[in-house]
Amino acid sequence: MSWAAHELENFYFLKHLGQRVSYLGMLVGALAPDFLTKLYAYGFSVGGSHFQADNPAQFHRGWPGMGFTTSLMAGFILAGFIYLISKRNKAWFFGVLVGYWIHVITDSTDSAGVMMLWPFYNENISIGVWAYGAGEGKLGDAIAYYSSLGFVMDVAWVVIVVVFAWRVLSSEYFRTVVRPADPVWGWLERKLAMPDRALLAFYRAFFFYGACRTISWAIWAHLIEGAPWDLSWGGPHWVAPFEPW
Amino acid sequence: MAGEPNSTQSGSAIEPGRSGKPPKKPFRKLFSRDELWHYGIAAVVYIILGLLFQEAVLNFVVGPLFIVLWMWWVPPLVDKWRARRS
Repeated sequence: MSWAAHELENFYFLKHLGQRVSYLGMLVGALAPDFLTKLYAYGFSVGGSHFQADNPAQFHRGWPGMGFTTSLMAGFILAGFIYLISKRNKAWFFGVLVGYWIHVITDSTDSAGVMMLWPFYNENISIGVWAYGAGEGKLGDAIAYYSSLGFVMDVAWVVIVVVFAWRVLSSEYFRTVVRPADPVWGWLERKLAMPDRALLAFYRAFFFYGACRTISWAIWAHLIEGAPWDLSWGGPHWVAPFEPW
Repeated sequence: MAGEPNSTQSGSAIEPGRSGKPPKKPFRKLFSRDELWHYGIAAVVYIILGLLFQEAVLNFVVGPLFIVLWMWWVPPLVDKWRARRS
C-alpha cells in the first residue's frame, strides 16, 4: 500500500481543480478507503491477544474480504452519500470522488493491487511496482515500503508539489480559492475559535505530515534499523511474494 | 458543508482573478520568513519525535494535530518573548 503519497497528491490535483472541489472533501476521500481495513490488516493487540487478518492482502484488497472498499465504485457511492447529506454540495461531491479515486489508482501500484472496477470486474488490477507488505505488521511494512520504489514515489510527490504546485500551499491560495469553495472552513473557525494561522496550518497539515513522515520513516528504517535498500521493480525482496487467493 | 461555494467567506481582501485563481505572485510575497521558520522548526521537531516514538507520533491523527497546535500556540509565545527582549 502507499504511504505519504495519499496525503501529498491531493495538493497537486487541487492546483488544477481549484474551486471545483472541496479540499476537505478530497482529504476525506483520500483517507476513506483504508479507514475500516488498515488496522486489522496490520494487526493490533488488546489485553495480550493479537488480532490480524489471516491473509492481510485478501482482507484488505480482495474478495472474500473488504477489497471492494478500494474501488472506483466505492468512491462514487461515498461521494454520492456525502452529496446527499451536504444538501447537494457539488464541491464536496467532486472533492470526495477525486480524493478517493486518486487513492484507488495509487494503490494499484503495489503487488496486491485493487479491485478497481468492482462490481463489474472483480479481479485485482496491479502494476506491482513494490511489494504489498501489510503482512509484516506496521513497522515491517514501513521498512519494506521505505526501502522500495514506494519511497521514490513519496519523495517524487513531495518534489512535484514543491516544484509545480507550491502556490497551492500559500495563505493567499487558501484564502482566495480553497476557503471560498467550502463553508466548513468558516464553521471550523467559529466552533473551534481557531486563529487564521491555525486554520491555515490545518489546510497545510497533511502536506507537512506526508513530507515529514517520509523523511522520518526513511531515516528510521535505514539509519536506525539498518534495513538495506531494494529499489528493484516489485521489491523489496524480503517481503513474501504476493499470492492470489 | 451545506450550500454552494460562497466567495463572501474568503476572510481576505485578496480576490481571485477572472479565472477563479489568484494572480501569480513571487515566492517571497506568498511566504514570509517568519512563517517558513516556524514550519521548518516544527518539521525538525516532528521528525525527531517520529524517530523516537515511531507509530505513536507518525500517524494521521498526531501528525496533522502537531502542526496545527504548533502554529496555534508557538508563534504568539515567540512574539511575547521577542517583545520582552526588546
